[in-house]
Amino acid sequence: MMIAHVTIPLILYALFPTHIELLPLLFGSGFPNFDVFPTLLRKNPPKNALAETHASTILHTLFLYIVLLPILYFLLNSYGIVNGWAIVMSFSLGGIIHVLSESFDEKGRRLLYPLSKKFYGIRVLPYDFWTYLTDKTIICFEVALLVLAILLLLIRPFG
Amino acid sequence: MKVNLKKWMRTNGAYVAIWILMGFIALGLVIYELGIYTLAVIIPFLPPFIIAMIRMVQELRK
Ligand SMILES: [Zn+2]
Repeated sequence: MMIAHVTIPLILYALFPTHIELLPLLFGSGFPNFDVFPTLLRKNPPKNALAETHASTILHTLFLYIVLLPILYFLLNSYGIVNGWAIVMSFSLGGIIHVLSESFDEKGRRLLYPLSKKFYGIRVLPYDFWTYLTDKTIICFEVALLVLAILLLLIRPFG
Repeated sequence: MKVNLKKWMRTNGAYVAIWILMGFIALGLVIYELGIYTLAVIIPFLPPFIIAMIRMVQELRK
C-alpha cells in the first residue's frame, strides 16, 4: 500500500507545507512497519494471513501516536530543539495516516485500542499482498493519488 | 503456497512494472523535497524490507 507510506503524506505536505515537516512525517508513516519482524522471522506462515502479527501490535494503533506526542515533545524540548512541536506533530500524523489508510483493508486495524482490541475499518481493500499487487482498480487508485501528489507538489495551492 | 515464479511473472509482470515505476516516482518526489535527508527515511526501513523480500520468495517456493 503505497498511499499509506508516501502518497497521502506527500499530498498533505503539499497542502500544508508551512505546518508539516516532511522528514518526521515520512518516518512516522513508515514507523508502524517495524511490527513486521515477528511475521518475517517466523518459521511457517499461518494458515490464515489475517491472524499474523503484522498490523496487530500497538504500532498499528492510533493510541500510540497520541501518547507519543507529549513524550516526544518533552524530549525534543529538553534537547533545545526549537520547532519540536511541528516535528512531533508531523511524526504522529504520519503514523495516524498509515493506520487509518490501512484500516480500509479487510483486516481492519485496532482503531480504539486500548478501549477495545477489536479490528475496525471500512473493509474495501484486500489485505493479502499478492491480491493487492495485482488488482487493477487498486493500481488505478494508487496511480491517481500519485498523480494528485505530483500536481499538488508542483502547484502548492496554499504554500 | 506453491507458485511458479516465472509463470506468475509472465501473467503479472505488467503490474509489477507499474508498481516499481510508481515506487521510483515517489522516491524521486521525496528526494526532490528532502535531498540527502531522504536517506534518513529509507535506511531505518531497509532491514525489514530486505528480509521481507527474501521471505516472500522463500514462502512462494514452498
Ligand atoms: Zn501497516
